[in-house]
Amino acid sequence: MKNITARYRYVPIVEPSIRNKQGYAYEEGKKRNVYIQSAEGEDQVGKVWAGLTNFVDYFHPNAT
Amino acid sequence: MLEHLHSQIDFSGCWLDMNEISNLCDGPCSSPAGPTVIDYTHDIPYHPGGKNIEMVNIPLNASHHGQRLEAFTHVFFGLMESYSTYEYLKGKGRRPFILSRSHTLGSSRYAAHWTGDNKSNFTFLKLSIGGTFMQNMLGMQMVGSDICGFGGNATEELCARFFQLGSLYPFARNHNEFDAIDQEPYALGPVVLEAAKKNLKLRYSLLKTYYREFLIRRGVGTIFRPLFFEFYNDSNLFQQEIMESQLLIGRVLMSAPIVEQGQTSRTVFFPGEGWFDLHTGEEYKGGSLSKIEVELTDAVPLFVRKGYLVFLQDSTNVTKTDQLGSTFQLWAGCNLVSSNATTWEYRAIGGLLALGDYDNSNDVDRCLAEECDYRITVTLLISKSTDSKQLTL
Repeated sequence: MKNITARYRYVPIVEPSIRNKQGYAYEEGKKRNVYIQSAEGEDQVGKVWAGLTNFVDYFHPNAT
Repeated sequence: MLEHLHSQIDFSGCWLDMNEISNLCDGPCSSPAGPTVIDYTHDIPYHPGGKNIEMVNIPLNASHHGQRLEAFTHVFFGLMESYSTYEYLKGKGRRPFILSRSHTLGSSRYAAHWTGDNKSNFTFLKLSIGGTFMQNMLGMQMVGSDICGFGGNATEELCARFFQLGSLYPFARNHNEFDAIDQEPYALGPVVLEAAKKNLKLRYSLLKTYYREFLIRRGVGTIFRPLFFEFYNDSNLFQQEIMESQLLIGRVLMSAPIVEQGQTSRTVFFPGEGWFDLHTGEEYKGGSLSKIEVELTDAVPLFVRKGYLVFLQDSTNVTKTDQLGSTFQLWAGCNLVSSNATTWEYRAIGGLLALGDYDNSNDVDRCLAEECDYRITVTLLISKSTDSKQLTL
């Protein structure tokens, strides 16, 4: 896959919503503590294409 | 977190979708809603459309880094995501291409934009002209609508017309929803394929002109713009039909695409001193109205302003940025500036970037920091004499 970008430009789609409590991305975000917080002081839960999600907070310096 | 993906695929940009932030729960997903610290009637006096302000949004009492409430940071989220993503990718040594659905003032420094979920119909085709004008006026110059339309099924006629107009959007992309019929250039038959090929080739041949427009403006002003922005004393240009269906690319190129179903011809108003058809060279006098024919398989009508220059390149040789510095044709819309019984003087002006390597970030930054747009004047002096015929360039 690395080689593909020598000749082509590759632009993946990225969403701020991360599937809730499953998978690498969720764990990485949890480790960095970069999710938007609810009024109750927990990771805000929403619902997007992946189902229940948390949201990466791009105001946080460690978000990317 | 992008590093994990980048270690597997050396991507050169990011398409940031759903970043308004979209949330299908309309506020909190838990039921009943949690305690709120926002008194909507007092703290947020403006309710667009009178609808629930949390519709397709996260709760307004959610908080961001530094105790910032969603209610007061909502419009900046797309900017912050664009900024963070841009900075990350810039660290990888490339000029990043970020495409964001949410933007606000300042976003255009980091991201391009598309006009969101349009529909595959002629209303949205026509609206895309005003939509692209508006985004340019908001400072978002690198923008366009989804070619052939996003929602619903495109037809042969619609898709051909979309490729004609869409090839002129600063950001040109065909994009479709999952449930609609296919609308790639090859998916709707030979007519759409021909329209797509002809118009995308036209776009590629004009990239040098577009690139210069972006660079010389340094993020300020408009590129895809209404005619009255340039010819503001001409009250004809405030007629709705002209405002909604004719457009300028920079100061020199004008287009009048067909945006109505069933039409194969339209009238075009030519402001200023006059225009030349880029495809045929035909001249149109300033202040005139003309009817033009545009078949589905034609290139979009495009006119060069009299007295100005356009740069054209072989479309097959400009598929990469570094090729923008290679050979080009100068298309001069010469204007007669003076004449007498024995001499005629014609002139066309334009600008050319003093930029050899278009793909070198340092060269581009230097070009932005200094004045690197060199003014070109082409003067044709034709003298009639008895002993020799002389042409001075």
